[in-house]
Amino acid sequence: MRLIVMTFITLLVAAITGFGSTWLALREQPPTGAVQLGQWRAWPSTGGPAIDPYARAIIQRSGALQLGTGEGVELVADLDSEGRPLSGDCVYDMTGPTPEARIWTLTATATGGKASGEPPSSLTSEGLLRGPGGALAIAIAAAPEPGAWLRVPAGEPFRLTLRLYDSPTGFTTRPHVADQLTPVIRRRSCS
Amino acid sequence: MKLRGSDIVISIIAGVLLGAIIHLVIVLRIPAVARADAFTRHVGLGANGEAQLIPHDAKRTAGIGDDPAVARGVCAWDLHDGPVRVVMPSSGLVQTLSIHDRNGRVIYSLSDRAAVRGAVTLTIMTAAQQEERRLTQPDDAEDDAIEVVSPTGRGLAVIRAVTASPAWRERAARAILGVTCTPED
Repeated sequence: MRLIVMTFITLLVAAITGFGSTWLALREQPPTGAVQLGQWRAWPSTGGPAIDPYARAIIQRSGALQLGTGEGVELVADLDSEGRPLSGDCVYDMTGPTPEARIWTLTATATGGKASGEPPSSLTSEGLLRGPGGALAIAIAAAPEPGAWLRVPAGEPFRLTLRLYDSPTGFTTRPHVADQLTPVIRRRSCS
Repeated sequence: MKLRGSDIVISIIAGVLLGAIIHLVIVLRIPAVARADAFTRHVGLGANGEAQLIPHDAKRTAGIGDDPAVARGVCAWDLHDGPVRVVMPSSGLVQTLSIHDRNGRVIYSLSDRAAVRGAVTLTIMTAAQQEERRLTQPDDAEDDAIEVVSPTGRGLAVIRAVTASPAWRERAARAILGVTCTPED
């Protein structure tokens, strides 16, 4: 009797911790291998043969085709400069430098894997309206803004993805330098 | 007969250890058992030796590597009948090429900046095929192709063309359709 109860407890705990932790780890972004670059995160190993096992499981399960290291690098931001989640209820200003690349794109998508009705909006570095002195100044909001504007889903949390094509990815291995190379997302106001 | 506190503690510890094993086994086995992986989805593309476009999936556009401003094409390759040569002509757009093995690893990637005489040329081969080439080909054979050794016999060549504005869509599509991946003779 004692052994049966012990076995039962063991199996129950194993099932909960095993399946639960796996589900959490593979739900969205790889839990390991991330590099923090200012407000942005990157997974540099994803684009090569030594890919992180979690990243590979997530990619194989979703059917994604990741960007190779020689193609470019993908940076993701979910939080503003003060660490609050990005929300479609607010207006943000993205300013500052961007890492060296032949061309880059900025995409806003609803988070949580939820597909919003509209296609995701994106901007590219080519033909981008620049502020005085050629400085980067992008308004990120649900409603139109003057100048460079990236539309986001109204009232929903969102994620920004900055994809740098043909970029020397070496900067991702030196976060202390990369810190000063990535743009900053500041919250201006909320409705 | 009575269950003691130490029994419960031992059971929980054993359970957590077993849970960790379950976690590792699932994470490491997923690439082998996944049925919706990119290779399975796109294995039919490029069978005639020319790359084909993959449509943007409206439901998954948020995903890794899926940029709404980028047109993507795929050529599935099979080294069964010998090495496969991938040729990506330059088009003026920013174009990139990555070679994915059967198990979801990028084994080689580069951009059109590496083009020689207007095209990026790669030859994908197995380690055995590379060895054979070393023995049969003269050392001074003139070839611009970059040799890519694949651990798996099949995989995907993925081509990306960045469209700075929607007006470039068609140009990007043409650039991708111009990529060939044919068995080497």
